[in-house]
Amino acid sequence: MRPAILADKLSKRFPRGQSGETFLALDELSFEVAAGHAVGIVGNNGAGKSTLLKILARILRPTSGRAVLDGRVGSLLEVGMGFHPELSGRENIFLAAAVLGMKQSEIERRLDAIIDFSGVGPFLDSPVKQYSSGMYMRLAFAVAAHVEPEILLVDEVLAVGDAQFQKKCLERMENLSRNGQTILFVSHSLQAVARLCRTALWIDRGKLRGQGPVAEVTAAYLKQGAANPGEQVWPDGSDAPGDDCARLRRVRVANASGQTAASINIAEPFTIDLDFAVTADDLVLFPSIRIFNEWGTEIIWSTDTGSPWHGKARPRGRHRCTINFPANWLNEGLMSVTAAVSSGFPARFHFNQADAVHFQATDVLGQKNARGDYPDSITSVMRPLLQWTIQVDS
Amino acid sequence: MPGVDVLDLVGAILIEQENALPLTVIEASRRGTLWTNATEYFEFATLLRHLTVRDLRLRFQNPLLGILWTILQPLLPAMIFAVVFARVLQPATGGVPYSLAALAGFVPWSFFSTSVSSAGMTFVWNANLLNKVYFPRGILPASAILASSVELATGAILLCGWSIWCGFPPCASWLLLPLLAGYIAAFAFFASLGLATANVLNRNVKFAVPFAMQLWIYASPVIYPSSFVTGRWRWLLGLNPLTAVLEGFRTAIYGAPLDSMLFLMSFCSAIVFATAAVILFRHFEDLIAERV
Repeated sequence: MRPAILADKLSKRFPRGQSGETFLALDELSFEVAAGHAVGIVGNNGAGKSTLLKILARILRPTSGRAVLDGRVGSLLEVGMGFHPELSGRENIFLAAAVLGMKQSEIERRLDAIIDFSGVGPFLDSPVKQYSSGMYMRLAFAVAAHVEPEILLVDEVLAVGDAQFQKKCLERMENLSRNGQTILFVSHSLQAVARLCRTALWIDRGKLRGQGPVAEVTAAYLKQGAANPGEQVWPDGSDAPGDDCARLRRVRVANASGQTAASINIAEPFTIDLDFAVTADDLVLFPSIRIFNEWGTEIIWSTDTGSPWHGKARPRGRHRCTINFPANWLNEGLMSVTAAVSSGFPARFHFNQADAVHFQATDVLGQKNARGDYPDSITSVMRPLLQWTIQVDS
Repeated sequence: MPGVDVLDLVGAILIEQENALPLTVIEASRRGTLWTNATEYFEFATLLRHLTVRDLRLRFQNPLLGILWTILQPLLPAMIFAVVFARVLQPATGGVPYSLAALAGFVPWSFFSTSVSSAGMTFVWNANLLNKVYFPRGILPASAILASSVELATGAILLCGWSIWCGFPPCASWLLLPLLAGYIAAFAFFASLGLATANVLNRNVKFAVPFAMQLWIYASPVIYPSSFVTGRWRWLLGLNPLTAVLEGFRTAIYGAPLDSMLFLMSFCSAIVFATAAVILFRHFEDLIAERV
């Protein structure tokens, strides 16, 4: 049987800057996807995932190589494509469905199902600018979910919307996949990839780095993800993340005894140091950090609210922040830290460095932590040690 | 026929039927001829329809104001010129009220200038859509021109009314108006296809468009009939692709004498311009999403 998607030495070169420099986003990428399979694509930012999807969706043309797609191709690279705020919900259904490649008769046939799925019934004939963002998303996804080409290309659609919405999206895609649709799915959420796909491709700097069962590929990808364990230092100069106002100099994870650590015992407190250089006068800067778990879920966000420097203009010089984390709240796994400095009005990031450092949160047996003697895996995002009050009436 | 095996052909047709699903081949350069690329537009008729509906909805959100703008668009400049230039230009119209001659020029002209100016921006305005989903790119200017055609139709009705008012009753040549309208709408589509591509390639083009339109109106028989230009420079009007349709409107409405040589020259010029626009568009078609 012919594969649903066949990519043969696909390359894509983009011009970069004015000087005629080029950048190779895809480098002779070859792979096959069998009909009826859902395949996830993982890889770092800039690895070429989106470029690949856009080439397969015929939005971009490859520089060389070829791809053959067997069947009608639909692409969901964004929820709400074609939506216009002034048009009513009903008009937007027709417009967005046509944008996604549906024919008039198909749209009319599925109209009731789409309206039903969206749950915006009573507001169907009001302009969508009056919708809440939740209603808007539901309607937009309802349209997208009823496009049923043989091959569906999906990019980060699930990155938007609340948890309930994301769950609904995933369920719908699982259904499509069970009905024999071929799905190519790019997402930063490894959790979503693992749930939807049985196989995965790992793309690294435009090349295929791994292909196989989803668990193996994501494990290999996560392992290389820990490229900056414990500490990362940026030498002075313009190569460090940042701009004319502030530049990142160092991010470090330290254990309870103050030593740089690539591995943290979740039953002990730890600190993260964020150092940055300020090179402009009188800016009110907001340093912040975020921690993501290995599934790409943001576990925590924090800024300097408790410090006397909060909301104050910063002098030039090196600013060293130490963020103290209590013991017993992380779950185990590979953690990634994003470090950022922004200024308030107008809000803008001076830098927003993803994957600044990585550390492994480990669960050391025999310690007083939330696990106790419970042996199975704990899949929750956090694992705080909570006080239980128990009353027994007999 | 030497070199073509009939069995191969039959085989190819059978394979085609066995795989009912369309096979998409993506390569560095575009496959297919002008004809196969053009027929692709029919597959996207639904999109064309709903993009046109969108534009019409937005234009007639307030129906009364929408209709008012649509009528004023050609009427106001025609009346201004009628008041200001009537005395100078009246002799050239051959006894026809200047206001009628001017309106017959402004109805096609204002449709052309406003629709091409806005349809020429459709790639830039819809950058997000172009970057997120595939469809034949020409759908965007085509839908903008289609929506603007309402303006042309209203203008033509207005023109007929004005003609009766001026004492030129309906005649058989009015039946040519839809043909002429189709002709200028088609030319507006090709012009905006080329302009939209140029707008993607160079961001300064959009600033040049209003100037070009201002010069173009005086270089075209809009405020004056072509009979106003005599002598050795008359052939220049023939290079203008709009001359044919502007003069055609006057002939159809009140039977102005048609210079068939001028008409033919202008028609050929329109074909040359349209071909150039299509060549420009097809050459850069695949780069539009990347550059926009």
